[in-house]
Amino acid sequence: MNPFLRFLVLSLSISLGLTLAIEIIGALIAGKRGRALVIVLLVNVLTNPPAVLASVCITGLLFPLPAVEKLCILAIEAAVVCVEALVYRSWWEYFWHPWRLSLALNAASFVLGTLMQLLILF
Amino acid sequence: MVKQRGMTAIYAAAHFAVDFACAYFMYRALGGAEARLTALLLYNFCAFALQMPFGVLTDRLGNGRVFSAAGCALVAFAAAFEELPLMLSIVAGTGNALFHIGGGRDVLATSGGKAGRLGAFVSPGAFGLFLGAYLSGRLPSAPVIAAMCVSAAVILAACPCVKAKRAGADQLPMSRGVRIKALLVLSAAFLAVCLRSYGGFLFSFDWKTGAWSWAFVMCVVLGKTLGGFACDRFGGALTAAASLTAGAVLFLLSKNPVAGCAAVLLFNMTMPLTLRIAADALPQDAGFSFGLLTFALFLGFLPTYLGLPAPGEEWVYAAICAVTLLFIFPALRGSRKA
Repeated sequence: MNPFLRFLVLSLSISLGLTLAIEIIGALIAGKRGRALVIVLLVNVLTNPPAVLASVCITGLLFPLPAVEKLCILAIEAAVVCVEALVYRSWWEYFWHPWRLSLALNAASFVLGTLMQLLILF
Repeated sequence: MVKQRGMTAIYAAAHFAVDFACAYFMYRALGGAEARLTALLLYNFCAFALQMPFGVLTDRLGNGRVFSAAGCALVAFAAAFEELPLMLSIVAGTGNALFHIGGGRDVLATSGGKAGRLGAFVSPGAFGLFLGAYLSGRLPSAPVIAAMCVSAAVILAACPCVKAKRAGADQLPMSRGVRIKALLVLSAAFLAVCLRSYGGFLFSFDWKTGAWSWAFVMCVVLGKTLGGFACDRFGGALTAAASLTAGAVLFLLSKNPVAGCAAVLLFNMTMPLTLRIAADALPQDAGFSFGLLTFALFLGFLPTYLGLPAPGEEWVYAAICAVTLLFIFPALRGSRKA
């Protein structure tokens, strides 16, 4: 397989799998059950692939500089938090604090994801 | 109303883009793949059959735009599996199903008993499939992926949130008689769609090459669009009777490309009508009724896929038109759109 495609497949699949696992566990801890969990799953399917594709394209192809890369990742994460919060807000009957939930779940998945990456690398 | 028309226009444009992207990725990946047939079956199963369970989910949760946008994101994700055709089929098919059920449920739930907007939503897909297959070897994949991400963003930003209909205290539970009637209507609509899908895969004309293949696809698209508006203007019974009878006669002359194209246009006119009939039979479950009919599309695809004898003759096409009419009439009688 083409090395770039292999990298893309691995990034997308691992990232989506990890994000789903972490955010669903986070939502369970936050007391969400049943339909609310399905919504969390759906929202992550919505935001994760474009976010990973954007970060791979922006950091790998357009700006291969470490400082710019970190800024871009932060900007993409911020956009993901906003989109997810807005989507959660439209299901207000399941999510009373959409912004807080979105921020907490994404922060958890970002921190745990980065930690796992570091553990694998070192 | 203007808001809902805008929503239908956005979903229709996205429908074109999603079907374009799916056909583009599938044809690109399956060019010479050994697993071509398995991949095709997997794709069709995910794209059509999965809409039924997803439909139940949209009816419970509402907000179909999020399902649609997630579907667009999954189709973009599928691009990464270019060298793994089976994975690509599953991811692209599931994305396609999520998009269709989200958009279809929202359009059905807000169409106010009309069929025009259903036809407008459904029709661009055929052109997207055709063009995606045509351009699969001629276009780089980056713009297609970008189009999917933009579609997801536009749907999320511009389409209204259509809430789930909840059974309130004012709504009486369906009586046994009403339930049986709904079941009969749905069965008839289901069989009509199975047969129409089978017919769609069966049609093969010697003249369907070059410019005539474009004309053929345009007739499919136009037929679905016109059918919805004709149902609203003239009623379902008249539209079905006129279009399928004239279609049957023209299929007998379909060695001639003009007659063949006209027959295909007329044959496709009942498509929005069957959607309307199913949605009217289950007014609280627009998503499920939409998904049920797409499952019928999947069943209609199977005989051709399994290589069962396919009699590609004019009289068979005419007979399919006539039998479809036989299924649609009882369905119409049972529904309030007659």
